Amino acid sequence: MKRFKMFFRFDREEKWLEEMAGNGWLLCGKGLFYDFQRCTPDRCTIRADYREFKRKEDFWEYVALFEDSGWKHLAGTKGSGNQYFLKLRDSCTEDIFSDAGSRAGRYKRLAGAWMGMAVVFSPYCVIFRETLAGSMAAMMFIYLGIAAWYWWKYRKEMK
Amino acid sequence: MNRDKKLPLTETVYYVLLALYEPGHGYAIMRRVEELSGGQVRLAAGTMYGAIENLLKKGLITALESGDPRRKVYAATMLGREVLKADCERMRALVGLTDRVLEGGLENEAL
Repeated sequence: MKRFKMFFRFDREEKWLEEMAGNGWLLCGKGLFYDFQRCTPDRCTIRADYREFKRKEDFWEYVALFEDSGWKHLAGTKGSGNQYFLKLRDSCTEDIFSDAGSRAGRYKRLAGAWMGMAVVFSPYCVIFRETLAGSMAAMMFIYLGIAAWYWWKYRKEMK
Repeated sequence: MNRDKKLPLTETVYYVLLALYEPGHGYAIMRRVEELSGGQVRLAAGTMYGAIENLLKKGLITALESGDPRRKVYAATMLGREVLKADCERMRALVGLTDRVLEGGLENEAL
């Protein structure tokens, strides 16, 4: 089952994924759409991170660290950025972050990713001067705006 | 004393460096920190991964050869140990100073 939804706050995204699990749908993939598979409806804890990896060994190590500490990796790949985890046993921590700095860090990484997208679009604004330029410039400004929003969330959570 | 911008260390980093006086992989570090702190400090996986990445970048820890490709083993470097000792000295000085101030000894000196 696929659903399309956009979130700009991790806490709301996590809450929605937990609600879906409560209704019998567990996240199993995330691309443009959220992928779900049937599960026994259950109250659970799902947490999201944003992290991209250059080497697959680093990604394996990341997933292994979470698995060792009782968090099942539900969705996410080496380059997807979005990573989702399900809390398995009671003995591990309640969240995947134990200090404000590292929790805020995921917003910072997201801001960086959207800035990267804005930079990709910026040359088009200079090169193309016909009607294309308008929409390309708009894309760049939208990405810049989203990056700025995530940067602001990062600064807010750092306090 | 390393009075450059490496100090003060955050509590997370301090505990990780302390735990890595003996080599260990990510989850082992988390357990060791919990043990060392008597259950007071419990690092979460996301925080742990970020701390490891950060410490590697700063050269305070290094990765060792390990049999498991999914679990690298880390250890504190010479620099890491020096920074830890420097921060301990910084805190020791602070604690001593605090004791003196609270006992009223420093008031007369300052004025």
